[in-house]
Amino acid sequence: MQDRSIEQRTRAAYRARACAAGVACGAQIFAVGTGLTVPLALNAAYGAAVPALLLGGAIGLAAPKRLSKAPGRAFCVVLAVSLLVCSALLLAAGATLAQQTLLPNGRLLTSLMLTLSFALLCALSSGTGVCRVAFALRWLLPAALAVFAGLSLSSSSMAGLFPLLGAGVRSLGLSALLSLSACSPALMLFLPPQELETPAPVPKGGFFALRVGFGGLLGALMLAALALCNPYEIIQGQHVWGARMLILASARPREGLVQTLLILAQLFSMLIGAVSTLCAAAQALETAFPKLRFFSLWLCAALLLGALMATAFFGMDVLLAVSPFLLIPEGILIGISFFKKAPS
Amino acid sequence: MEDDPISLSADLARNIGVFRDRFGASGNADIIIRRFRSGAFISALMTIDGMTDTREIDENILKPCMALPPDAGEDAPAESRVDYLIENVVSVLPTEMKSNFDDLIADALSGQSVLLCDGCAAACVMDTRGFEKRAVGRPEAEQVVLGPHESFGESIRTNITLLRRIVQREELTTEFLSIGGAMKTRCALLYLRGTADEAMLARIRKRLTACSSDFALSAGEVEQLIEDHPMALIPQCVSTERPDRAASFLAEGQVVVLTDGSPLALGAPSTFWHQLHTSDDASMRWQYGTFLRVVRLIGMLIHLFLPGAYIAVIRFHTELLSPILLASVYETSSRVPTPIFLDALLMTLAFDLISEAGLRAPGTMGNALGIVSGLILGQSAVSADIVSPLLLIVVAASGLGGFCIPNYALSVGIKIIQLLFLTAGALGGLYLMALLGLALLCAACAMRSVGSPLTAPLTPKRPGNPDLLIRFPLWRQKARAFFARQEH
Repeated sequence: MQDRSIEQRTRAAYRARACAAGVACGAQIFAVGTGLTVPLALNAAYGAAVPALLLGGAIGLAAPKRLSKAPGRAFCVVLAVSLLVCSALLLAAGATLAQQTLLPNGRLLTSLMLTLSFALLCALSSGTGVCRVAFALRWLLPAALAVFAGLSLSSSSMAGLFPLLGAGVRSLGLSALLSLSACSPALMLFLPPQELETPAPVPKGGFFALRVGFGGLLGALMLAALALCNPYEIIQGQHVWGARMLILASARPREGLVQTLLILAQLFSMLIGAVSTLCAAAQALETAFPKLRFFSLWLCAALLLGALMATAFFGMDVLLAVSPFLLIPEGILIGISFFKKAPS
Repeated sequence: MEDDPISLSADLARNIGVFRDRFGASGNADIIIRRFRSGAFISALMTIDGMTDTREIDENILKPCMALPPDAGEDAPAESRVDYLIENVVSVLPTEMKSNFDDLIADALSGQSVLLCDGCAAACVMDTRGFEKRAVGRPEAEQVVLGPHESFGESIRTNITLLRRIVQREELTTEFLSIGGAMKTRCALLYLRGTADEAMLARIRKRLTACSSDFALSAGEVEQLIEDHPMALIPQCVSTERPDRAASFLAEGQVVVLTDGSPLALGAPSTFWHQLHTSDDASMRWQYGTFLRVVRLIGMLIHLFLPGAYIAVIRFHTELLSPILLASVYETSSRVPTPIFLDALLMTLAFDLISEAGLRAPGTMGNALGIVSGLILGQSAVSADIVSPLLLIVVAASGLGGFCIPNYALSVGIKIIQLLFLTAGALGGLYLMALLGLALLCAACAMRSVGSPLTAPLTPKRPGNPDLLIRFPLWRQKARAFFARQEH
């Protein structure tokens, strides 16, 4: 009886964390896509997200193997840094999108600080809360995004989807390479959920891969919707990055409402992703340095503050430029997880 | 042992002296200590005036004892004289032997009678409670269209009887606990043995007995002892004044806590969904129950978000309004002297003021007060250009939504959250509202009720009946709640 209860709790905890990882991956694919791949692959940017999706699935498959071993200090530090960069990118993307769309008269710095403060407020419940929110919204959020994006597309043509290779094979290949790192938030699956106090059986790899894949697919679909509605050629002149994330609607008030709701849904997914990666980064840091137990979240917050200040002064370019390099730690972490033998 | 002030001695005069001292009987008119001859020895009966059934005491204790022949009980050993009276003379149930002054005083204070005999270092506690109490009435705060119309009262005994009449199972167990330091309050823990989870039961028992405050007189105070998050705005136990609902808690595997003197039963652990359910949902066919739940949820969402969203749209997102509506809003707003946020805040508080005044006003005056305040004051305020008519509609619709929340404690919590959203909408538009919403959602999802997740079984996923928002037919509801013992 006790075993069944523990199994239920364990599966629920892993399921919630996998959903959070999926949402974060989707948001990251969309954010990196609009920042890096759309200018290169143009309307075919959604296609460049496919390899990232596959890599996200691979992380999901590697997760059970990784979770069955005690992580080393170096592993945890690399994991914490990768997740922190993801968190910073998602927070900055959310704040910039909000500043560009919902609060056009506001200052970016204010928006960034506001977002960071609330992200910290959300993170105070140790990551359990945000993962459960991601699980609760696992159908509602994708459905809302799909419906609002669909309603915005009513006046668009399918022409945007035709250039399947976008600016050419080479550009598409380069875009795919650059966006490979977008599945980094899935690395949070290498840590056990914080609410689990006792070691418990880990679900199979497919369990994680499916959820990460589903979340990531959402990001790719949003990129496709962007291509349909708002071809890059139109916004090329606009140097404001947040505006690129808009799936434009026509000027009718009803569509203004749809647009606002779509932006809110996008923001929600980015914030969920940012908070869950922040909590996972703090957890990784705590595992690497147990003495930092009470300060790990605040240390991460301080690092995030630095990253966001850099964004406020230099724009999103800094974080976007760093993001492809996440592929290096990502590769090392996946490699170690797949090939290192479990201790007997 | 003779000088031990904690335990009774064999000397009746000394025992009576200790009781008199403890109660301050010389200046305490309520303490009655009646000495009488019962056969071959002297006995005494201690009661509190007004708490006991004097007729039962006369007929079943005093008369039979005093009617004994002078040699009755002569042969009985002095230390078992009380037993002699219980076995042969007194006809009151239930009876319990005790020898501790503190216990006996606590029993006497709860309305029981204490029978003492000379030469015997133990006393008998007899249940002769007979104080005045309210008859079983109709529920005031949880009225239903279908379903039973009786509610709990202030007497814990009557409340347990009401529950036992519905739950006719031998597994239904009642445990009595005394909580509080200086002023003890009797609480009853009711649960279905084998259905309620033992660990959860132990947790509730421990929290109640570890109470460090001097007193906890009402169910609301007892709830504060059980809850996991004292700072949270959402209640973590579900309270009800309906025996049928409390019975459904028991059937689900929850523990029901009854407090003497309080007409509310607490169900713990509970989930957020318990706060949105009513007895009507179960009494109706599943389609109707589901429809009403959806209406209630929409009402709650309107109550929570509408004023904040209105302010946010007017201040930051005017593109969401048609030009005609926007012109109308600005035209009416331009005549109002106060800023729109202050206007909305004052209107919301005025609505809360009216509902609170209506609640406290006696009887039918409450309804009249609501109508007078709502219609006359609202109309006058609009005519005098003190408030915008659109804002009045928004606040009224939001207030109406608030009345759909079936749980009073939750509705007060939601009211406070509504003010937070209103402020967020005014300061940062829909963006700040979204940030606040996520923060509150995260906090709510991380909350627990006596160790069980508050938002389960939705998130985290737990096994249970398909009975959250959509109430599936009864034949689909085969499982107990996730917090019950797993073999059920």
